[in-house]
Amino acid sequence: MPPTRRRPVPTPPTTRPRVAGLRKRPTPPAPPAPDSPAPDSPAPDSPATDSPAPDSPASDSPAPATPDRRAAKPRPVGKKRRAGNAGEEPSAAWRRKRVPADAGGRARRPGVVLPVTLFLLAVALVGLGTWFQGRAGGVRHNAALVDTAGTSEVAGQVREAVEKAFSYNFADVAATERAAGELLVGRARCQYEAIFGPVRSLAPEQKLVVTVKAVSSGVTSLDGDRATVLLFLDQVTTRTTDNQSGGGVAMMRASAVRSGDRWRVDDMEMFGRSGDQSAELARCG
Amino acid sequence: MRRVLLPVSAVLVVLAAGYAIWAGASWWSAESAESVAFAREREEVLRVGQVGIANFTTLDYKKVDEDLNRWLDSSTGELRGEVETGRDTRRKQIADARTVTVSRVLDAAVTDLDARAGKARLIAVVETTVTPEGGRPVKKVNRYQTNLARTDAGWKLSALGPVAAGGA
Repeated sequence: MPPTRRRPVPTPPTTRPRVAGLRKRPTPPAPPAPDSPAPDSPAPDSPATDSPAPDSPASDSPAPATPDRRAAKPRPVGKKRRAGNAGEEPSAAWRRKRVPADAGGRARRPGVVLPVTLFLLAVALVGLGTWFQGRAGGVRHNAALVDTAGTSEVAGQVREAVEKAFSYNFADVAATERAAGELLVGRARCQYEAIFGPVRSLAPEQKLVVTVKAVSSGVTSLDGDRATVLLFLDQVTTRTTDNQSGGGVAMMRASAVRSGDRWRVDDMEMFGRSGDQSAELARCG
Repeated sequence: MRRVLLPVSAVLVVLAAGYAIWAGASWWSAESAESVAFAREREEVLRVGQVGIANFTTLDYKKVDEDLNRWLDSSTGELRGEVETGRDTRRKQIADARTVTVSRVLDAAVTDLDARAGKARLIAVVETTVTPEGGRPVKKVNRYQTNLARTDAGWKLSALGPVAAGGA
């Protein structure tokens, strides 16, 4: 008996529970089948014949079922099984008791349900996380002064860029050119030409030394790799041919963009410029 | 296959939960407390500073008292004291000059902010239009620096002056 029970296990259990579940009444007769060698023996030997058996218990049952029920043997078995479990349970009890494989089949349902549930939960959590992240990204506030280190970094580098690009020593033209080339990008280059062009043409012949210093600066906005800085500039121009000095002040709003670890000026707006310069600057678009 | 399904999905859930917690925490920290409150304070200082400087650089001889009262409202401490003591002289000057001075702030930046101490500094570019009676308006762009202090009635200007060449 045990060997026969174990053998059919692999194949029928998979189909049986479902069939049993669907046709509760017809199945009870089927289980007794193993008890009666006649229907049971063909089943384990040939899977081909085995499968039709559970699929069509109706056809199987009429023959063995009636004798089984009438017979003394199957009845107590059936009673015990039914006694152990109430109502609809018998079929489940069947599966558990009869075949270890059936137990595996039963475990299979939660074995799939639980992972699927967990998987769906994981998907939901990822969705939630993505939403959180989106909200976190949406909270973009101006970090000027809030990010102390970032603020002083951008202020310092923009001051340096402007001071270097606009300071000019006729004896070292290359330094200014290099600074302007390195520290100014985009529109700022065109604007630089417009602002600084006149000075540069005069500088060599008058042996000018132009020193621009940012006396005050404030970061108005700082957001990631973009920033805006307001600069108060003092300009001292010395004509070395006759040692005449002149000075001026300027106010500039500089936009800066960070590329790599360096802030570069990409837009400059001068406040209180003459009409000519404004026209020149406007051409930079 | 079925055996690995449960552990794999369990690991997925743990990872997903970890991610969700991390993302939630980063949202919370982005939204939370100090930095946002500080940024708000900076915006307030900027707003008050701009309005204050515009008030202090605006004076109409036809409504001197009204304008000077606005100066008083915008200031505290030393600056307010100066306005009070120099009020009569200033009124007389402006009445004699018969000028209308109107200003607007073109740009301004908070350069320092100590939220705890309630002190701040701000620089501003101001365009001032002076119109003498029957004359043509003259525009000029100046730069100012101001100190602000927090009072019971909000931020007020405690010092104000132009930034002269050579730094001030």
